[in-house]
Parts: sequence; structure tokens; C-alpha cells
Amino acid sequence: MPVNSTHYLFLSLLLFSIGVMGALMRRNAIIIFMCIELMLNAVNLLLVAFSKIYADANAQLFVFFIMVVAAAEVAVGLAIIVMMYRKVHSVDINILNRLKH
Amino acid sequence: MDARTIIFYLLAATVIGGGLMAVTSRKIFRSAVFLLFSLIGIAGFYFFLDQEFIAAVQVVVYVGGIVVLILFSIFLTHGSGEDMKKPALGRAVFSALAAAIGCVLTMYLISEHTFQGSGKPALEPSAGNIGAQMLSVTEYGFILPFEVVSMLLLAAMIGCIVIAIKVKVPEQKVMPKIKEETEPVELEVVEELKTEEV
Amino acid sequence: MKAIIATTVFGVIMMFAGLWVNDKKSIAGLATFLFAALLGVTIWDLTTTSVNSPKSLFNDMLRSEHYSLWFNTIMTGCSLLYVLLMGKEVQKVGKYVSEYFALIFFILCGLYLLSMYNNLLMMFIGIEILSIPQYILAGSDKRNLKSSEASLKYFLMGAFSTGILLMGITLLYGAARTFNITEMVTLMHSDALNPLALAGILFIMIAFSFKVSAAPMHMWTPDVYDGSPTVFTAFMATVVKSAAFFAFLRLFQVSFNSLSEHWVMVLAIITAATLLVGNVTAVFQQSVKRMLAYSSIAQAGFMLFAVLAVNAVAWQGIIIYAVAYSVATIGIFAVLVKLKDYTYDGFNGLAQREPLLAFVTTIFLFSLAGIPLTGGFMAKYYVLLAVVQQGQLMWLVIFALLMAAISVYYYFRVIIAMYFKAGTPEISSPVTGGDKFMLVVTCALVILLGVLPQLFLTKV
Repeated sequence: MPVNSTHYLFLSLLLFSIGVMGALMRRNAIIIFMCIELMLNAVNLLLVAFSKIYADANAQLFVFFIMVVAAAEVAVGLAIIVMMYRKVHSVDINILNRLKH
Repeated sequence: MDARTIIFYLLAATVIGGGLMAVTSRKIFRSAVFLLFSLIGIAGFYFFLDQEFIAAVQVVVYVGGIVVLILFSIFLTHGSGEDMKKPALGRAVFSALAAAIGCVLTMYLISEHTFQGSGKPALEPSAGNIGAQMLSVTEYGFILPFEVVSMLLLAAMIGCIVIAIKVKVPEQKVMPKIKEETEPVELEVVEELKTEEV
Repeated sequence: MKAIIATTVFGVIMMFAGLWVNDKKSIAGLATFLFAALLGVTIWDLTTTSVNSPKSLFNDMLRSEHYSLWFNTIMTGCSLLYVLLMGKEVQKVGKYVSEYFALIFFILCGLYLLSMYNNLLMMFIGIEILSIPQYILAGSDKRNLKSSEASLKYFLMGAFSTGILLMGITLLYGAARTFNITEMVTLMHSDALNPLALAGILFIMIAFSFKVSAAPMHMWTPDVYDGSPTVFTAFMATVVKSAAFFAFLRLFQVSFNSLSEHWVMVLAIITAATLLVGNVTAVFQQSVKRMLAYSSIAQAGFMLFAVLAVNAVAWQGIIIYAVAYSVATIGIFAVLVKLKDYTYDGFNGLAQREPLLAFVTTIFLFSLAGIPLTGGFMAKYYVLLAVVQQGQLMWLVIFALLMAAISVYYYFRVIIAMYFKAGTPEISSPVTGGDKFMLVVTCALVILLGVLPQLFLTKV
């Protein structure tokens, strides 16, 4: 079966779903964060594939902006996670829920 | 099966396998390494699609930047490499089902879609074009988002500093301690200097 | 456009002010002055753009339509009101007062982008500029664990929904081959509905439901709003939420208007669920701050009506709802920060101790409950009218009226505590004459909105 654009679509959706599954399933803040990175990468892959199919640079420019924003988010997110760790010595979200009661 | 198809499936296996292992592994450090494989696989796809520039950026930003940052924070927050707890079965089943249903539904929806070749004239996606458009004010120019995103980075930078900076313990308690530690050192230095002069 | 530049510059000025000015009070004063200046700039923007010809900026990245500029002006006005009412309280949160104000300026920049975007890229960047400073503000009270927790939760939820949003945008691009939302319309309808477009619309709808805290994607809201420092909750729940709604409405009005038969039912169910969850859960809360968090979910249910109605009245509805809801909620939070105890019991006997505070709170709560002669009533009237004019979904309108009746119960519990229960409420910071004056002004605004809503819609 020759590779066509539908293959990329399915591949990227599959990767995206893995990311979503992980984000829902895991309780460790850093792992959830990695799952979100997977989701963003699935999107990037699909955009680049579209850009190739349609011969359109706009989609690739979008990818760069996603990368920039993802980098900014990583910085902020990891700062928040480290701050949290300093207080409770854990990055488990379940512990947070338990602390509240 | 020609070579292109085989390469496609090999890369797909790397990306999906790496992703799956990253999501399910119980050692956080391994998760990060599997994520690394997955991201490199995606960079491989960009090469496969003849988009060398974006592939290079992918390696630099994700593999060189984001994964390293994640590893740093793992080292900061997980002193020992012990296993994480298994996710509760109910939650695991629920999330797997939710993701699977969403995925299958979307795939079913779009499986009828057929792609046609491009209709309207578009901009050829070459590295030169991308670079020129990023700063251009003419048609397809992306100067405004380019400028605005710099503000986003500024906001993120201020944010990180505000969040990550340590709150000081009330000053009276800290000050004497510092003095005790620093004063003797200074004296020693001064003495050394004196002896050298002599 | 001038407003975007101005707010960026003002944000940078605030940052530098932190370097040279050590006195928190003068920093807050400077911020107030800059917000007033920003309001001036938005009015300048508004008056220099003609009503009928929207100006396209930077290759159609932004389009300064008149209702967008009007929304900008009104929301900047709300921010000014916010700073006037709460500037003093911001100083108490932590050490980095000037940075907090700088971040608020950046949030406003995101708001301007979201009200004017004409390209999905600008929408994405706008949402991010709106969100990232909020994660920081939520976690700014570092002595409090709940604040850090709110920040982490908000961040994870926000990043997750951003991922979904991007997937939606990508699928839409796959269908339409453009990120321009006005061009998209023509390209998507060349023949039968493209399945990629439908999937994209659903993804984007889910992502926006996260951002505006619509059920069933609302779980983060109570924890985040409850855990964040109260002053910043007031800003997040009002101005920021309104901005997210405006972006939601803009995309669905401009791009997906003619496809409405495909998505309107899904959104109607989301709306019904939001109204139900928000109102019913609010009834069982013991803390007023948490009740207000659930009430903000309930109010989001009403704002969703504007998105549901794909007609011109929806623009008026969203603007009047945004301003009525924002003003009343900012007012309530301004009273709330003065109290030490955030439970209902903390309000006991407020009418004896501070009769004026109790009175204005009553008016704000009337407005949120939608009692006639207050802004909230006119706001609900406009958004429901928009749907009624559409001629369908009458069941949802009736359901909403029912839910509005439930909401009266939990709003009135506060009023009953203030007027009919004995107690001595502890006040955390003295209520000065200036505070009282500003509260009366806010109260007057709420009533003005209820009596003369046209005043706030002249330009739409």
C-alpha cells in the first residue's frame, strides 16, 4: 500500500490519542506534561504533512509558532512544577487532592 | 512494498512505540528517554517529507531544548529513581477508552475524506521562503505574529522569574547567620593579602 | 492596533517601574494611571475607525471591526474599574507588585488580539498570551499551598486544552487550506461538508469549552478560582473569561455560521449541562468564594447562548453580558477581599457593621441573579432574545429560565446572612472613603446597565 496523506492523518491522530490517554491516565505532573508535548508534536507532524501535500508554507510557519509557544509553556510549566515540589516534595496530583481535605 | 513504504512504517513504529512507552512506563526517567525517541522519530518524518529545515529545528528545539529541560526538572524533583505507583485500574480503563473512542470516531469521520491537489496558488514551503515570510509585511507576511510572540516570551520570562524565585525567610533571622559565615572568610583573605605584601 | 502597542509598552513600563520605585503604593498609582491612559487609547482607536468599513491589518491577520473595538473599550473600562477597586489589595498578595500589573497588561494584549483576530494563528497566540500570565497570577501567593496548586492545575488544564485546540485548527486547515477565518467560509462550502472540517469544529468546540469552563470540561474551575489569590480570581473570572467568550463567538459567527446545523445541537447539550452543573453544585457550597466559582460556570452557560444564536443580536448579547457580569462580579469580589472569613457565616451581620457594603453587595447579587432593573437582567434578556429570534431551541430557553430561578436561592443566601443573621464579620482591611465611593460608582453602573442598556450598545 503506497503511503498517502491519509496515512499521515491517521498516524498523527494515533499519536495525539496516545498523548490524550496519558494525560488522562497518569497522575505525575511531569508525565502529564510530556503527554501534552506528544500531542503538540502530533499536531506539528500533521501540519508539516499538509504543508507538503498542499505545497503551502503557511502551515510550516504555523509549526514554528507552535514550537515557540511550546517552549514558553515548558519554561513556565516546569517553573510551576518545581515551585510545587519545593512545598510538598511531590509532583503527584493525587497528593494535592488529598491535602485539600 | 517499496523502500519508501518500509521507511514510513519503521518511522511510524518508532514514533508510536516511543510515545506508548513514554506514556505507560513506570520509571519517569525512562519515560523521558522514550519521549526523546518519539521526538527524534518525528524529526525523521520531517526529513522523509523533504523538510530538512524544520527537521533541524525539531531536533534543536525539542530534543535539544525541551527534553533536556524536562530531564532537568526530573532530576530536581525525583531524587531517587524509584518506580511510580501504578495508575488505578478504573482510571486507566476510562482514559484508554475515552482516547480510543475519540480516536476511532475522528478516524471514522475523516476516513471518507479524499485529498485533492492544491487549487489556489500557494507559497512553496522552502526554508528561504519561510525565513522571508516570517519578517515580511507583504502578502503571506507573518511579521505581526512574529512580533506578538516576542511579547509572549517576555510574559513567560517574567512569569518564570516571579514563580521560581524563592520567598525569603524573614530577614532578621537570616542576616546574622550570613555574617557569621562570611566575616571569618574575609579576614582570612585580608591576612593572606597582607602576608603577600610583606 | 494602537491599543495593542500601548498595552505592550505599558507592560514594559510597569516592569521597569519595579526596578526604580520601591514604594508599592506609587506603583499601584502608576498602574491606575496607565490603565486610564489605555482606556483613552482604546477610545481613540474606536473613534478613528469608521463604523461600516472594517480595517484589515497586516495581511488580514487582524480585522478591527467596530464591535471588536467597542468590546476592547468596554473591557479596558472594566479593567480600570478593577484596578481602582482592588489596586490596594494587589499590593498585599506578594512582593512583585509591578510584575503583577505588567502581567495584567499582557493579558489585556491577549484580549485585544482575541477580539480582532482574523487568522487562526492570531487566535492561538492570543489565547496563549491570555493564559500564560494567568498561570503565574494564580500561583502568585507563595505562602499559600492552595495557590500553587491552583497554578499547577490551571497550567496542566490550559496546556491540555491548547493541544486539543491546535488539533482542531490543523484539521480545519486540512479542510480549508487556509488559516484566514473569513476566507475559510467560502472554501469549506464548495460542496458537501468536508468531514475534516466537522472534526475540526468539534475539537475547537471542546477546547473552547475548557477555556470558558463549560461542562463537562469545567472541573478545574472551582479549584483554580478558589485557590488563586482572591484579587486575581476577580480578574480571571470576569475580563479574561469574557475575552475567551468573545473569541469563541467570533470564530463561530464568522466562520461556522452557515454550518450551524451541524454543531448547534452539540453546543446546546454543552450549554444545558453547564447550566445544570453550575447552578445545582453552587447550591451546596459553604464558601462564598467557591460559590462564586460555580456561579461563574452557571453564568458561562448563559453566555453560551450568544454563541448558539448565529445572528446579529448575539454580538449585542455577548457585549452586554460581558460588561454586566464583569462589573457585578468585580464588585462582589471587591467586597469579599475586605472580609476575613469567606464562608456564608463570615457575612453574618454585615448590614449592621457596614451598611453600605451590605447594600452594594445586595445590588451586585441582584444583578447576577438577573433581577429586573439591574444589568444582569438586561444581559440575560439579550442573550436569550438572540436564541429566541433564531426560532429554535426553545426548550433550552425555558430550561435556562428555570436554572436562573435556582440561582436566586444561593445568591439570596448571602443577602439573608448579611441582613437577617446576627454576628460580627471580621474585616481584614479597613474600608476607606475611597473604597466606598468606588463601590457606589460600580453599583450605579450596574443599575445604569439595567435601565439604559442601549448606552452600552450604541456602537454595535
